[in-house]
Amino acid sequence: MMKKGILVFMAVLCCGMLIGTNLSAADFPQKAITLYIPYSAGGSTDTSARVLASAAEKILGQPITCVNKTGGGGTVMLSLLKNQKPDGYTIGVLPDSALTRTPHILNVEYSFKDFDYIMKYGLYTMFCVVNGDSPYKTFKDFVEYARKNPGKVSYATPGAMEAGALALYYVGKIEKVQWNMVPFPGSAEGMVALFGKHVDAWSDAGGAETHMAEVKAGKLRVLAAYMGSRSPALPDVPTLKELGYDFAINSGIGFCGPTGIPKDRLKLLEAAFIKAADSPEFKKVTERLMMPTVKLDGKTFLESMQTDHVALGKLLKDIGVQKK
Amino acid sequence: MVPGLMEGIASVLHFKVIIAIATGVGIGIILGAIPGLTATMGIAIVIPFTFYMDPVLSIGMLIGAYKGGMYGGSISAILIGTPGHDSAVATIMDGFAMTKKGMAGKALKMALYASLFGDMTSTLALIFLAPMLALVTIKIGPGDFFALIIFSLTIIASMSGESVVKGLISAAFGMLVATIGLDPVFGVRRLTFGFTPLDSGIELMPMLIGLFALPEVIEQLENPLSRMTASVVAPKHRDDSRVTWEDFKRSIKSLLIGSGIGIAIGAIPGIGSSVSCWLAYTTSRNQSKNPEKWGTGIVEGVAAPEAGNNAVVGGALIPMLTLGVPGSVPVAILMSAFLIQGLMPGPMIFKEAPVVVYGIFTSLFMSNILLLVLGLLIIKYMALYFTRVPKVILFPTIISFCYIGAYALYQNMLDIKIALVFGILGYLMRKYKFGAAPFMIAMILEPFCERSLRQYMLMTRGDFLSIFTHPIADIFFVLTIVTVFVAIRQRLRGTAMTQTI
Repeated sequence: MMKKGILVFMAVLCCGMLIGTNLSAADFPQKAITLYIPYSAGGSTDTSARVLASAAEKILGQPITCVNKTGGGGTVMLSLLKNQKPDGYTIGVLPDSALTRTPHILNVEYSFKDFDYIMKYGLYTMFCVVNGDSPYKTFKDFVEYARKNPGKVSYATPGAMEAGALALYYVGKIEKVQWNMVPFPGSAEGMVALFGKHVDAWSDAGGAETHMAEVKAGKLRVLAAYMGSRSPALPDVPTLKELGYDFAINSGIGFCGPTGIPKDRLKLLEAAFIKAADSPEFKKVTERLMMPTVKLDGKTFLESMQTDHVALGKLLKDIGVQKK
Repeated sequence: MVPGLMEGIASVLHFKVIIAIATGVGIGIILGAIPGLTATMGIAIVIPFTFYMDPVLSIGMLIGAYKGGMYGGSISAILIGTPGHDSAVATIMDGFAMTKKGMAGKALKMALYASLFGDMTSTLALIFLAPMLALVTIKIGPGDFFALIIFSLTIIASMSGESVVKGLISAAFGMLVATIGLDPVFGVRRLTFGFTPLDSGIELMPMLIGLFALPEVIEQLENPLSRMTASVVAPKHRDDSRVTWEDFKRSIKSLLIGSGIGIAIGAIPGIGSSVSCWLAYTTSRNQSKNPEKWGTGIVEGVAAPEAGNNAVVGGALIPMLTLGVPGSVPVAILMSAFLIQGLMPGPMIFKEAPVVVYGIFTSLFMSNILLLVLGLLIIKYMALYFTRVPKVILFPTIISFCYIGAYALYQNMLDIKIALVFGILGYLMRKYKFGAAPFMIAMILEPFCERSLRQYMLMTRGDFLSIFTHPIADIFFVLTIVTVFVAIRQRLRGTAMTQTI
């Protein structure tokens, strides 16, 4: 009787194990995927990426572990990602500026051919944000204030070569104003510095977008937008182009991995993230962050970046920040 | 009545919520106790399940997982001298010493009670002082932050045991090791010697595992006396497994100091419990009547860091809720859970969603209670069996788990190599009495130090001396000088700390 019981038990156990094993045709992913995020926690890149990753986890059937690797506006993360195993288990959030813009300015350790592109999901909105109780009500006021106080006005950015840094560097040159760029790991830390009045402005993405309630209540004021056209969420904020500066940057976020990922795995990731972009959680968050969304597949993403790369080369040469 | 308060509390007092929190705590403790599997990972694993739950449930579960994870980290710190979480490193000092004396049960229980004490006080601080504390937090700019880090680094001087010089060398080495990798502003390679896997620097957990686990086991092998005893020392007294009223009275000061420091550190975005546990430990030691006993295995030595690291949780929620800035990575993950539910943390959240906010506060209390219940249960079975397992089986198992844990972090072979290298290094450091503690603190603090200094210099165009016009920075500089004085005086009086690690 006992022996029979054990036999039955073993049979059930074996059946259970068989049912438990993954019998799907695609044997990827078999374990957790690591996702590098190039900006610090709490900003729009980090937040949107984490939420999209959570939605994609359900489709892929494996967890996606998010790790923040900050620094250099994405250059640190990409230099790292380039050398990871191209098996599809390590990918990164790609701010396309790190490929289209930064290489014109800095010597970076990577290039387009070092990565495989998965998809693009969002567009950055970038603004110049100041405290509501500051004396400057418009962008022109801000510039004048800086001109009268050379070397005393500082603005926070997510890195030395970010859109926000370039924009105000350019304005500073044209207007002959001396102001200081202070880098932070992301908009979360930068905004704290702004709230605490250690810096006079936050310049780049993630500042206004993660604090819309404060903007509406007047605790924060948005002086200018750096994109080619106004943001529908902040229709009263003029772009730098409208203010008379020949400067506009359109950049966005997507996913990529080290080059050499097997084609079928790449396609799987692409499909998963594109589908995840339809999830209600993602839509809710991007609405909250005022982030315009796109859904570009890997190939289109690469092509659009290559076009931008050429255009930006020209813009940066005109500004005078091209590396020698 | 405060709007939303009653509904907030009521929303948590449901069976489903309590089960969710308890599950979170349970998963957290187990994962936290295995070195290498951190509380952060525990949260990341729990998150997908929370999509199907409403905000109160999911946030409760996440909070439970985080708190459970931190306590789990302390369990392994006490029992095997290897931290399961970087917040538990200071607990090793007296906690592991107590296990060696047969008082593991007492250490585990005090860790639990101290953790609860820290939790409770920081939750209360969060509830009653959050907006006020937020106002103070934002006043801390890069210059003040730099001064704070310098102060934290001088704590090292008072921790160096016999030789201050050796302690400083350890610390300097720690800072050097921390710079390995790509620099945070421009991405320039430093000290990688072209070995690209080192670009991201030395990962903390594998380094800690190596530094603490391997040397301990090697030392046990070397010591002929300990080789003879078949198993870890068993409790001699009934009291060795309990926390007595005496113990509690002795530890009150440490508990209060630890909690205070934890709340303050948590409220400053960026730093975390790994720093607060050390600050709590050394500050409590300096304030105690018998500093030379610290490190030999006294119960206050466990109370201080445990209160310190748990109080950070409540503290870190302050900038998250009031400013929308996560005070630490686990809180950042919590924040994304908020956002998924359509809530935007920031100064407006008390007006926008008071029910959720008060629900969270109640979850915090609830998870404390559940942590107590589950914790005591686990201690009962763990400490009991632990001392019965023969060392021959115990140590190899521990080492295996530790190294598996190091790999489990990112599935990166490099981490195992790091753990091995630091294992050998740690052993040599112990042999020649170079403290591992100063090394570790310096390594944790270096990135903050460098970043804030560079930011300050950029803000002032190189005018470093202007830092002394900042009152908060001045306070920390004064505290630094005081700490140095105390350290020197202790050495002259012979009441310096006994060096155990």
